[in-house]
Order: sequence, then structure tokens, then C-alpha cells
Amino acid sequence: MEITALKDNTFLNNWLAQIPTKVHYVPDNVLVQALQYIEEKGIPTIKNEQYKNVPIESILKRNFRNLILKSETAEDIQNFRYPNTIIISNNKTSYQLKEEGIQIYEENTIKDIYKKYIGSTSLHTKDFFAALNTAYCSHLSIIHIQKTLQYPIYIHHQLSSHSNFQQSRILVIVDKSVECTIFSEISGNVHQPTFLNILGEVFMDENALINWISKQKDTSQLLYTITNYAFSLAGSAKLKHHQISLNGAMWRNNLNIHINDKAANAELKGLSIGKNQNIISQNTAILHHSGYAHSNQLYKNIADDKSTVLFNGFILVNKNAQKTNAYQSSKNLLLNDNATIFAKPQLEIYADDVKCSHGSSTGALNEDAMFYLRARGIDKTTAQKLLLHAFFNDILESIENTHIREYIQNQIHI
Amino acid sequence: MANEIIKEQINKEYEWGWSFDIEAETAPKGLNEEIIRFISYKKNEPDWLLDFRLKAFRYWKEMSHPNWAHLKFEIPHFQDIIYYAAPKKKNISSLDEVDPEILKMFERLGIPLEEQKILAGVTPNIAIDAVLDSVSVKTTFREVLAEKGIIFCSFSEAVQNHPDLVKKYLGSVVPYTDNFYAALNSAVFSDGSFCYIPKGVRCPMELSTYFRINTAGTGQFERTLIIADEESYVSYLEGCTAPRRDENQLHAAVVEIVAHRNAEVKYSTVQNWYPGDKEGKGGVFNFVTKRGICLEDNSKISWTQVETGSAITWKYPSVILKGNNSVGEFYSIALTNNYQQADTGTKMIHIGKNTRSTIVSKGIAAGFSENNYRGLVQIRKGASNARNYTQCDSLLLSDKCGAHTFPYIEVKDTTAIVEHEATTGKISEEQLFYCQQRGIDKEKAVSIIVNGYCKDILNKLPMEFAVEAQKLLEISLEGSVG
Amino acid sequence: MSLLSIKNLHVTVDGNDILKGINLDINSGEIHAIMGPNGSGKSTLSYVLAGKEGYEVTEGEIIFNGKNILELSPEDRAREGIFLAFQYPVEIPGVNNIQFLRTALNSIRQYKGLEPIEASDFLKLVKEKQKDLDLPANLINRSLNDGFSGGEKKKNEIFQLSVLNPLLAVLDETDSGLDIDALKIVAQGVNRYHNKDNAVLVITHYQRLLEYIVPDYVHILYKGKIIKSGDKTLALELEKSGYEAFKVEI
Repeated sequence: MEITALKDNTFLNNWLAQIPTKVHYVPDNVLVQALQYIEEKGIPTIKNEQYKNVPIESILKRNFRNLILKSETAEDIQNFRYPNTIIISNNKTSYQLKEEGIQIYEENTIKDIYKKYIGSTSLHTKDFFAALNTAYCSHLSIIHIQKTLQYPIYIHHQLSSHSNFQQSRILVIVDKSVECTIFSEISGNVHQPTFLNILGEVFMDENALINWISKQKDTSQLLYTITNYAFSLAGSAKLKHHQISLNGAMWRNNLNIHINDKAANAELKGLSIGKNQNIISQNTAILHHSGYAHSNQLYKNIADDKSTVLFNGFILVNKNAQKTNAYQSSKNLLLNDNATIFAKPQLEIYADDVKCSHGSSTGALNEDAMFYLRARGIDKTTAQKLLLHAFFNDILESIENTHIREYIQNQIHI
Repeated sequence: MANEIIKEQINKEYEWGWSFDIEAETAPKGLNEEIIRFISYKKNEPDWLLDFRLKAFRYWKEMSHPNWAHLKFEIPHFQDIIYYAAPKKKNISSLDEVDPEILKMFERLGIPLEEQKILAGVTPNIAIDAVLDSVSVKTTFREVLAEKGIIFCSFSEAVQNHPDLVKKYLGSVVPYTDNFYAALNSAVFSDGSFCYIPKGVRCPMELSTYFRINTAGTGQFERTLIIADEESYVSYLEGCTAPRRDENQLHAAVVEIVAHRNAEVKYSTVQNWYPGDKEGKGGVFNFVTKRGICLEDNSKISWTQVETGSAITWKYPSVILKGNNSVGEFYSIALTNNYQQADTGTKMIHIGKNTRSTIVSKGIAAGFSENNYRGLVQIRKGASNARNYTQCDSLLLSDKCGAHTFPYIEVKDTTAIVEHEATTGKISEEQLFYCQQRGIDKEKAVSIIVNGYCKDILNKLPMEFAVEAQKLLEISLEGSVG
Repeated sequence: MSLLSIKNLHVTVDGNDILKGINLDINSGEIHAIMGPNGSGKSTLSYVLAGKEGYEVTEGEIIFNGKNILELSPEDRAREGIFLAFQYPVEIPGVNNIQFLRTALNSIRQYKGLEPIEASDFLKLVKEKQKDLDLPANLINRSLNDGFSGGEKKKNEIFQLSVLNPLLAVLDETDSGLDIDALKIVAQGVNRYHNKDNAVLVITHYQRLLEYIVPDYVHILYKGKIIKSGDKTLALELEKSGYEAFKVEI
């Protein structure tokens, strides 16, 4: 036991030594907590309940023993595809905004009023990579939305082909009664194994509304990504969140929703399609700290080839959160005997006047339906495609913005 | 308001909290190889069994106490426990004779050990193995059963009389390396029940083990082994109580079930260990490993449990579905009140083809208690056409308690279908008001509704046991309703 | 002395005034109907009589059978003889319909100082009433209202009414969701129950039910007040002209 621990530390210490920067925008107490967490917990092993079926330690050791950290060159930044576009790269935030009411700051232009938000959702005390980001991510993007927007904000996480380890941190603040759509995408040219570690904290003031769509796809099979997001909802705030994770070496998303005040509403939808040897791990935690709120989750997961697809959905209802309605449903399709589905829906309830439920089903495509389609002359492959589309289409259909929806639909190849 | 109803406390005492003054021969406190040799010597065990114990002990010493359960408690001081307590035999002429004090005690528990009384009365045919502290004191009806070739005796006797069977199956379902408490049990288990149903035999009566902790400061570590040979059937019942004592008593049992081709085993438990007092003081730590294996084709193992007792219940009666077409079932009611904690559920491991499992769990939390369902459904590669259906519902009867659901689902076969549903809620005001409008008072209404909520599972129990369980639910709810 | 006497009853729900001074006297042997549009306070009146929580009586009194019942718990009101046929009968899964009814009957008997009913007598009673209402045997042996159709639930309410045989039956929109055949059966059940020693209070939206359960008195409830009382012709008048016409009279 002790020998392994020593080895771990050596790896971790070597690793951290390669990341030169310490951050200055993070409040001292948060920084201390993050560093303590890193030191105490170390890189999660498969013995860690949260990473039980994701061999993150061996992935890191195999591919990222040596970190290559290079700055972006200007020509890498492009692709201002939407009217409001923000491109976040390794050390720089570039943007073109058509609409007013969006303020952008970076680590060196941060105003004091924003400092109190940094780390206040405590992500850095829940997950190793959130702690790592908190203590070692030099670049911060702050997006403050003060007016209801007509167009979506497109946040593009631009990957560098020169660095194999990239981190970014974003802080989003949406003011009272402001409504907006945010489309976040990760892409870039990756030519070597690349590890991406993103941390996001989103604060929604009273009555604010966000349509947040996150799309992840990387066909190079070289990109390993961990995201930690926390959404903090004030009274009557409404979040609609879509997580679409497609082909990629590893997508591990930790999504934490804090229902902090009455009558907030969170609706989470997810689609994961695992192919090749993909690892896709969706981890949601809905934390009901206050009552009269609704949360609803629907995740659809497909595992093909040798992929592993995981869904861990956690619902916590605190004592004070009476009259909470929390629902969760995960539907899983296993298309190949070499693929694996793990599902762990969890409820932790401390208030009695609540309605909470979760359902999970795992299986293959309906054989009767397959047969019916083939009996009408449709070949097996087409029939399977039709049924797969039927399986996940409601997730995509619920994306309100037509452009984004169609764009994503075109990205799905099954 | 349900909330308010539940607050008022009725001072209902644990009915089985008394202890009898039965002289016991005990081992000194603490655990070391000497104690294990002492237990083994006392029981006149063969060398291979002593070896098994010592291996288990050495393995256990290297283990650390598990902490993954959603439970809060002080880890037992393993050196403060008496690992062996046996009632002293008093000038008994025949081996079958039992100390009249012990008979009296079991009679007071409602467990008749004198066969003629059972036969004379209306009590149905149940063969009972009564386990007091560390040893089995009496097994009834063994002659009747022996005629059919059924072996039903204490574990110690099985070791003496059927060593080959014991040696073959002991640890085959729950190896001593399985977990912390299984290792501990393997090292120090003192007695328990042994049951073998031969080929083609349908056991004509319910077999039952009744566990009772009597001596203070003792732990109870019994071991049960049930083997159902090809084409056989047995229904097995288990009941338990303990005196009311201020300290926590440890109960770490292991139950192993083996079902051969076409065999069926039904195992029902009504667990009513002392739950501690209203402030959460005392009570039994019930840390039990129960597992069955459907070893061959078309076999079936069914667990039904009604858990109302113990300060802490930590157990997962499980089924390994190895044989093709085998069936595993788990039906559970867990009711916690006051400061009780339960972390219970099951594991269904699908290995064979066309295997099916059903899980229905009802958790009821009242007072300040914590009630968790934790379950694993694992479909291994090659377990084609495996099916699982899981339903776990929780009912909260106060705003100070917690109900939690932790299901783990792992699927590696495309032809498998796994379904899981869970709900959490409280008794609705409408239901309560409806009952009241028909003239039924609140306490009775809550009890009716809870019993209705548990109906599906109570129906799975053998008749007499179901009545017992229903009463137990009612009593356990008293004080949670006012 | 009347069986039920409501005097100047004011009731608030969540701080809103719903009933604003109801006066109503019902004698044994009578059938009264209360009609009113949505939101007039009809269901509130039935819940207040049965003692549901959240309905606060701010003024007035309810005397039933010579007793002020406002301080009584819902179960004691039921035991005194008030029966509410629910507009939406509650489903209680796993609770056997018949066992529930027996528990209810014995609770009421115990309150009155009577011995629990003999199992055989109870069975006889149930069989008889079941036949009267044309209830299938499997229905009464199922879980209480669980998975019943709307009509079956309403029939089951009347079945309970006939077995428990209370002094006052309050029928809260019992006709809603019933087809004409079921409506007739339900009405027959009520008429069979009714005699000179008990009373019926029918709360309804439509005149239709009153063709089968003929009231002695009809009251129009509007915005928390009884704005007009009369005999059964009032119901017909109302059907023709609608509530609008009566509003003007206020």
C-alpha cells in the first residue's frame, strides 16, 4: 500500500512541477483549500467511488507523463461563427460581440467585485481536477451578461495543437431577469494526446434564464477532457441544460446544480454516444438547498464498439427544501457486447414533503421494432439508424435554437 | 399533518428487551489466535477447519474497516468483545436434553422447542434450530426430516457428522476474503445452522433458525450453510432478538446458500434485534453477509426480509446467477425509527444465460433515522437475455429522517434488459384525511397505509411469518405517530 | 332541533375568504342540494364539515346532532355520523378495500360503545350492499380505489356510505365523471340509504343528478354566500337561465 502511494506522489509531484504558474486571481482561502485537496487526495484511483470505472490515473500516466505547455499563436484564433462569439484558448480570451450587455474580463483585468465568486461553489473541494484547475489554471475568462440577448453566445474552447495539457476557467454571471442562450463547444486540431481540464462557475440571479448547450466531439481520439461545472440558481431562476457528448477519447463531465432559493427550476438533458474505445462519463448532482423547486433530468446514453458510457445522477434534497419535485430518468442502449454501460442514479432525501423519483432502463434496441421495419423492406443498418434516431431525437428536439439544433444534428453520425 | 402526527412519542418499549439469567461459559474478552484455537478446541473441530479460521483471522488482521456505507457509528472495539459464550450444561442425562431455563426463555420469545407441544397445538409445522449466543441449543424435528434424508442441525454437529459436505461448501459462496466482517466471522464463528436437502426432495416443513443474544458483552457470529441439491426445495425462516443493553452488541453472521440444478431456496428473515433506545443508545450492530449462488441451470434463490430492529443494519443478501435460466429475487422492507440506521439492499450478479432477477425494496424512515437502499445489478458479458427489474420506494414519516437510494447498474451484454425505478415521498395528507373521514384515527391510518405500502412484500412471506411481520411493523411505528 | 345547523359560517383558506356567512339547517329525513358555479365554495363547505386541515373557521358555528363539531377531529366527526363522499376518492395502494371498510366500521362502533361487528355479520352486510350497487366482487377485494375507474370510485364511495350508514351523507360532486347508467346506480344507492332518520346534502354543478336524487330544498351558493333557496324547481330554473340570471338578484 505504502509503495503505491509513494509512486503516486512522485508522479503527481513531477507533474505539478511541470506546470509553472500559480494563480493570483483566486482568493487565498480557496487556493489553500485546493492545494490541500490535491495533496491529500492525489490523483483519483479506481478505488475512488467517483472514478470507479474511469481509469483516469492510468490514462494520465500513459499519455501525460511529460506535459508540453506552449502559448497560442495569433493565427490559431479564428472561427467567429456566431454573432456573439467568445474564443477561449490556453491563455487568451478573444471575442466578437454583436450585442451590448456582455462584459468580458480576464485574469489581469478582473474587477474586485468578481473575486467573491471564484471558488464559491466549492467545486475545488469535491473533485481532484477542479482543485487542480483552481490551483494551477493561469487563465480565467469572466463573462457577465447584463441584458437579455437576442442571439446566442458561442463559447468556443479552442484547442492548441502545440500543448498537450490545457486548462481554462470560466466565470459566468447572469443578472436578474436576464435571458440568454449559451452554446459551448470544444474543438481544434489535435495531433497528440491532449488533456483538457475545464472549470466553470455560473451564477444566475433571480428570475434569470439560461439555455445552455454544451457539445463535445473529437474524432482524433486523442483528446481527454474533464469538465467541472457548477450552476448556482437564485430564486425563480431557470436553467435548461443540454449536454451532448459524441465520439471522443474521454469526456468526463461533472455538472453540479445548486438550487439556492425558492422556486428555481433546472432541466437537464443529455445525450452520450460512445464509439470506438470512448469513455463518456456524465455525472450530475442536483443539490436542492431550498424548496418549491423543480428539477428534471433526462439522459440518454448509447454505448457502441468498445466504449464505456457512465451515468451517475445524484439528487440531494436538504431538510429545508420542502415541496421539492425532483425527477431523473436515464435510458441506456448497449449496441455491442464489448461495450459497457454503468448507471448509478442516487437519491439522498432529508425532507419529507417532497416528490422525488428516478428511473433507469438499460437494454438493446427493440427487436420487434427492428423486425417490423425490416419486414417493410428497410435494411438492418437503416432500420437501426432509424430506431437510434427515434431513441435520442427528443433530446435534440428540445434544443430551442434552430441553428444550434441543426448544427448538432449534423454532427451526429451513427 | 403527517409531520405532526409523527412527532408525538408513545412510550412503547422493545418487547423482547429482557434477559434471562442463564449461566454461560465464556471465553475471555478479545481476539487473538489463542482465542480462535480455544473456540476450535471447544468445538472439537478438525484441523482443516482450524486452518480455515486462522487463515481468515490472519487475513482480517491486515484489513481496514470499510467506510463506504452511508452510516455513522463508532467502529466496534474488537478486543472488548467476548467471542464465545455457551450456556453451561447442568447435569444433563441425555444429549438431547435442554436446560429448562433455556426452554423457558425461548417459550417466552414465542419459540416452542418442545416438539410435543408443537404437535399438540395449532402451531404449524416448523422445524427450529435455536441459537443462543454462540451455540445452537436445540434443533427440533430432526428425526422427521432425517427420514427424507434432510440434514438439519447445528453447524457444529454438521462439522462432526457431515464434515465432507461442510468442507466442500464452507466459504464457497462467501470466501473469507470477501469483506471485513465475513473475514471476522470466518475466524470466530461459533455455531449456526446447517441444512442439506437431498436430490429430488421437497422439504415438508419450514425450516427455521432463531437467533438470540443473551449474554452481555458478547458478539454473535453464526454461520449458516444451506445446500439444496438437484430438484429440491426448501423454505427457510430466520428470526432474531436480543436483550436491551446500553452497549452496542455486534452481530456479524454469514449465510451461504447453494442451489443446484432445478433447486429452489426461499429464505425469509424477520429481523428484530434490539434497536437501541429512543436516544439512540445501545442496540445491535447487524453486519451480515448473506449470499446465495444459483450454481446450476434453472435454480432459484429468493430472499425476503423484514428489517425493523438493530441500531445499524448493514447487509446485502445477494444472488450469483451462474446457472442458465436461474432466478434471483430480493424483497425487502426496512423500517427505521428513532436513531436507527440501515444500509441494505442486494447484489444480483448475472453470469448465466436467460437469468432473471427481481428486486423490490420498500424503505420506511421515521424519527431521526437514516434508511438507505444500496444495490448492484451486474450483467456480465455472455449473460445473454438477462433481465432485471428493480423497484425501490422510500417513505419518509418525519422531516428529521433521511431516505437514500444508491443503485449501481453495470451492463456488459447487449441482449440484457435492466430496469430501475425509484420513488421517494411521504404519506399524503389526502390519504390520511380520507381514512379519518371514515372514522379511523391518525395512528391507525398511518399503520394501515404503511402496511398497504408493504403489502407486496408481506405477501411473499410464509403466512404465520407475515402476520408476525405485520405486527412488528405496527409496533415499530408506534411512537413515530402521534 | 335540526340534525345539522350551520350559523353565519365564515371560512378562509390560505388567507382568502371563501365562505362568507353561510346559514343552513338540515333536518332528519330531508334532502338538500347546494348548487353553484366553480369557485363558489361548494367543496370548501364539504371539507369544513368533514374537518379537513387548512380550512379555518373565522366566524360562526356548526352544530351537528346537538354538538358543536368545530373542535372535533375528522375521525370523531365521522364517528358522530358525518360521511363525505369525496369528489376525488383517494387511492391507497396495498390497503384492501373490505378490510379498510371493516376497520372504519369498527372504529365508529367502538366510539359508540359497541362491540366490533362479527365477521359473518359483516360479510353478510357487505354482500347485500354490494349486490344493491352492482359492484363486481373483485372490485371490493382490490386495493382501496387503486386503479379504479372514475365511475368505480364513485360507486365505491356510495358502497361505503351504505355500509357505514351515517346520519348525514355529504355528496361532493358525486355525479362528475359518471355516465348515465352509473349515475342511476349511484342515485339508487343514495335513495336506498335515505330514510326519515338521516339526511343527504348533495353538492353539485348540474341539475342532472337531482332528477334521480330529488331534493326537498335547493340552495344556490355564489361567492361564498347562499344567495337563494327554494324547492326543486329552483334547480330547473337555474338550469334554464344559468347562474348569471341570479347574480343580478343579489
